[in-house]
Amino acid sequence: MKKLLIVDDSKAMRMIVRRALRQANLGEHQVDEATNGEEALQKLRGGPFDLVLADWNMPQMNGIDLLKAVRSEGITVQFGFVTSEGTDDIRNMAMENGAKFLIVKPFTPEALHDALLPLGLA
Amino acid sequence: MSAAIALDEWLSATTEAASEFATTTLDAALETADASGVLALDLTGCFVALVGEEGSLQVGLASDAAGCQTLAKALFASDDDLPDTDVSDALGEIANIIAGGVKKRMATVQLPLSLGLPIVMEGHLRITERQQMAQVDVRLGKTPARLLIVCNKDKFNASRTPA
Repeated sequence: MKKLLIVDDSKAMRMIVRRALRQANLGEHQVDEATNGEEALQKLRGGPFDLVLADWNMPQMNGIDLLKAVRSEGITVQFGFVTSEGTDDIRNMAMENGAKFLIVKPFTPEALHDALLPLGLA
Repeated sequence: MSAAIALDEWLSATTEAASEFATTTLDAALETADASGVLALDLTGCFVALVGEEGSLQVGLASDAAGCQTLAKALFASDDDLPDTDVSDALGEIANIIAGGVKKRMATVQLPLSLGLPIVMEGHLRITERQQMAQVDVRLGKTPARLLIVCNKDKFNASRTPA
């Protein structure tokens, strides 16, 4: 069992990601939630996680700033985006900063499974 | 390119993005046939701004109270009616997904755009003489909904020719 952190300011989307994990047969993982980047950073400082699934556009601290903060603090958690931002520019920015994947909303459980498979989480 | 044609392109991209959302997330089809005239003027909806160098454009989704409940319950996978905060949250997420789809689809013909955060509104939308609006009534599955585009007449209409 791995420990995952879902970061999204939308309660509905956090629930959709949880549901997609279950539908992708990944429901055995322990899942925690944060509503923005700052809250996520606090949780990541507090203990080890195996994967962050973060939205891009969020109040207070957005997803890319969270990723940069995580890396600057030397936190080695694997990081992926689940976002409505699907342009090449955004994808390139995510990858250049160390993201493992970027899933564009709306997404299927299969897409989530395929993204987590190379990370040893599926 | 005329403003009218440009606005139609934005609305077409919005409809395509909403259709993708309906298929992927609601497991339902988007239909435009027989959808007009179902919804009243006073609706609850959510707008997300697409902000570019030439101005901003609002992408919106609206429905009546029952329709908003139905869409929210589908997102939350809930059989029970949801509180207003959850309905607003769900509408915001739907509008965000649709606006993101519009941004992606228009990336080849429009200068770089940034997505704003969702804003929920209730009532009758009024635009000024300087603004223009396009809308289409659809059904997301069985739920009637209105897709809207609002922008200034003198800004955000020019599209550069695709490479």
